[in-house]
Amino acid sequence: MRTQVPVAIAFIAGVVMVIQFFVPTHHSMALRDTLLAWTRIISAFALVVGIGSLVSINISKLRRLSPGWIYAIVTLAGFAVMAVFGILGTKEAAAPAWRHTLDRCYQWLFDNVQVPMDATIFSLLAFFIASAAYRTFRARTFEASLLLAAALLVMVGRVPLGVEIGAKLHEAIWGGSTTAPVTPEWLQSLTEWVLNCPNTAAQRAIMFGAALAAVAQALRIIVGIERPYMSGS
Amino acid sequence: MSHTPDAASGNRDFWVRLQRIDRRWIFLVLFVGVVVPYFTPLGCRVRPSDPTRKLYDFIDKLPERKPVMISFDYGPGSAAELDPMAVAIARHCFKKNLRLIGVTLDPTGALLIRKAFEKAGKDLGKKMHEDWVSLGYKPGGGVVVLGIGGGLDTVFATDSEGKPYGEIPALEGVRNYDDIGIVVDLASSAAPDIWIRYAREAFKANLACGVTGVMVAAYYPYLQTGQFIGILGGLKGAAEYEQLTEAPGDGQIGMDSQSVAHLIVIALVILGNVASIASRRGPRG
Repeated sequence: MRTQVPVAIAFIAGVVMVIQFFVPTHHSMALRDTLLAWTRIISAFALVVGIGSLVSINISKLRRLSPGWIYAIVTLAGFAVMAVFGILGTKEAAAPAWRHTLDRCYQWLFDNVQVPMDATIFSLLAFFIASAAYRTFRARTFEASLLLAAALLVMVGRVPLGVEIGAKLHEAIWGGSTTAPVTPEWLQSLTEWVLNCPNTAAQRAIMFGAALAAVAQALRIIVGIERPYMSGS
Repeated sequence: MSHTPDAASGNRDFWVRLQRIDRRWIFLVLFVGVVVPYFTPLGCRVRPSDPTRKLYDFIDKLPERKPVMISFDYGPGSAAELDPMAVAIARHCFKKNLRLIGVTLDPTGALLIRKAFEKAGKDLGKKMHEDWVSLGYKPGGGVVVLGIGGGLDTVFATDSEGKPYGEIPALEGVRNYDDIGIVVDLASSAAPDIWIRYAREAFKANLACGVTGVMVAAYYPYLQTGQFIGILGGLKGAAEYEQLTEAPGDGQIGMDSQSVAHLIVIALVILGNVASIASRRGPRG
């Protein structure tokens, strides 16, 4: 029973959504909207589970004084401060006079703590990519050389300074002649061509493969061959 | 000219050492390359690409007061790249007297909506609830996108400030995708796939996207099929849009730094390859 009921629910929900897509009647759309509302509510519970997990993992880290326990304090303090300002700043929780101040505090913390921290972590990637590219991006084979050439072309053609250098080269070779075989923006056009043609062809092949796999996976879940919603059983 | 074995070996050592250079030197070069152009602009002209121009032209032709939806599907980590896009598009919409609706599928994106709309509408006197509204975050991803097709008010009963849907002038007459001129998804994740699948294919919504520079190649196939009206790629996309709206902003300010950084990486890759080839050549025994 513990297996059959969830499998039956997954089967019915899956089949209803598939039928609704192909037969969009008033009743099927109403049923779809109800199912979607349920899904949104369940998704909200996933957030609660996530928060619970974050808090319990960090508290147990603190209790055991595991390596890096100090960071657990930072995590819990950050979570508590943002939660307090976020919840108290809502219409339901605070008096109008306080609400604006609490809301602004929340926005201030977001703008001046979270945004710079996230941006810092993300921007560090540029430095590591530069170092990794220098050490590992080698033209050892024909395929690697082709990849390298395409990457360098797109990199230079996607920035104004690169396009400007291309225009200067054009001027040096053809001297502004109207009979030149390419325009001064040839580097940008070439980059667009790489993205539009070879890149699109390759991406589309990957997408078709992934889409077919997704259909197969969805069918396996609907008919109950795979049950990822049941702890891997 | 012939080299002695010692000289050849010395040369090879030099190229080997060059390949193993302390990575902090690379960090320093890149840091200088990013910081110096930021404060001393090179003034390179940004030439708008076709995908950017198509989005601009589409928005430019929308009738007055037509709602435009922007989905802020990114967090603060990608804000440096995507916020300038949001501000540039919002400013264009406000100049055309279009209404703006902000939503997000990312919990950290909710606060970015208000900031971008306030920044874009400040000089033009645009007001929250009248000219723009932030509906905030709702969990569910694809379910939210599908739900909007059934009725925007069924997903967002209130805006992020708690004001009921029916009392917001910016949402007057907006039921679902049929009433929205275009949905622009600004994303640092796979959110554009969700919007394509559910908003475009299920409800025929007009769709465009703005994504980070590393993601842009993955979305070109949708441009060719017409599923995306236009694409803004990375900070350059923002700079191009600013150029078209004749309102320079953070996108154009950052382009010089990005230009130099790209050229430095290209130079490093070439140098690394030269060093690799040279170090493999040596006296044969």
